[in-house]
Amino acid sequence: MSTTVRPTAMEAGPLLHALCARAAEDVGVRALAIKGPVVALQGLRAPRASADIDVLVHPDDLQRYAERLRKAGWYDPPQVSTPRLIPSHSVDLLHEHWPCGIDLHHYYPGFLAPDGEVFEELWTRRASYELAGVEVPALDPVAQTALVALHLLRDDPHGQGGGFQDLTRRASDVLGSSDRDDLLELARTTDALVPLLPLLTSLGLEPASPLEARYPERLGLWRERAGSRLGDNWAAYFRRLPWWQWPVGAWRALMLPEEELRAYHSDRQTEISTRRLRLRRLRRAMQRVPDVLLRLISQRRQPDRK
Amino acid sequence: MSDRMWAYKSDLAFVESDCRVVLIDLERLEKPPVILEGSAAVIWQELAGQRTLDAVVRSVADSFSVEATAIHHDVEHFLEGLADRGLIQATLPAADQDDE
Repeated sequence: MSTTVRPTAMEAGPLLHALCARAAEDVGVRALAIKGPVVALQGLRAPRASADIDVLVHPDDLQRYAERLRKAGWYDPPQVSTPRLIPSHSVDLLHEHWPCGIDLHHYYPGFLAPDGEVFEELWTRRASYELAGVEVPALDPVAQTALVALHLLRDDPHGQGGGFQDLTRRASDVLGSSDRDDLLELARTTDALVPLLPLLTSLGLEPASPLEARYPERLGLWRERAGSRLGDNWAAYFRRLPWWQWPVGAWRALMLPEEELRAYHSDRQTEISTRRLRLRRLRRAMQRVPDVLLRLISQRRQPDRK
Repeated sequence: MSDRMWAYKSDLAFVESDCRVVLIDLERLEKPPVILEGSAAVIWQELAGQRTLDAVVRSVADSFSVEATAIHHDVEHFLEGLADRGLIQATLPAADQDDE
């Protein structure tokens, strides 16, 4: 009567949030469900399946919490060799029985205040949502709007994409006037006024001038990441290499180890051969090569540019 | 003969759709998710609340338009299996508990 197939991603989302909430209770860690199915429950996006679920914990609790999940069979994916523009903000865990990973965040890019302070602020304003029959602590709608906006603005810094437009349209309906004032206050407290400016203005909120970040170094990192385009990480990598090493670098970029290749290009739900994954990567790389080359050439002509 | 009452164990998380239920035991996070499909899912859904075996059998028989006697053994076997896996638990009716 029962089968051994895995849950679908749509089923896994709420179940894994329930699992994460229990794992947190087991080790006395405060964990907040962020993004994912709660966003749909809050009316801030349409329901949809995700490749991962996301949980935010206090930075001091990250390793203890990850260890609890590892004891339940979750494991770290292969070491990533792809260059990054900003430090990783999560520990990503996988499990052979689940189609989705768990991303454990100890901070969220765009909230520029110290990570522990941001967590305390978000925890104080948490709300509880029923997922898979279990009450799960999560961000309240105001904080969720801010965090989802930051997520979208990383790849869409001016907020012109469909995802961001959909969020602001829905947030306009969900958040009342006191919620909007609250959003402005949250952005101020977490030093996210500058990163969240497109959201705030689209909701008719005007932060007082002058608009400055209390943590300018983190704002610099945010701007570097939010202004980046696909392939910028590889452009930065090649920029550091002497030109005669570019063929070796290109080989490395294309021929990732199999496990890493699967981590990037497989959805973990369907069986697919390594050869097809390599072809998929090659096809994507070929689409981006002209743009990356143009950027490299233009940056080589401006050697002082950081 | 006393008829035991069957109920979900309290520490479960589960999601359900028409013909499918996926559940995890929150006391044993290392265990894989349990997926029930078809008749197994229907039996699970008929267990909502506290039900006797006979009540579950009658509901399932109605769902599939079959005689209750034809499925009684299979349903009982299935419930025992769920109990062995720690997913449901049996309790005696209140009157029987008083007798003890």
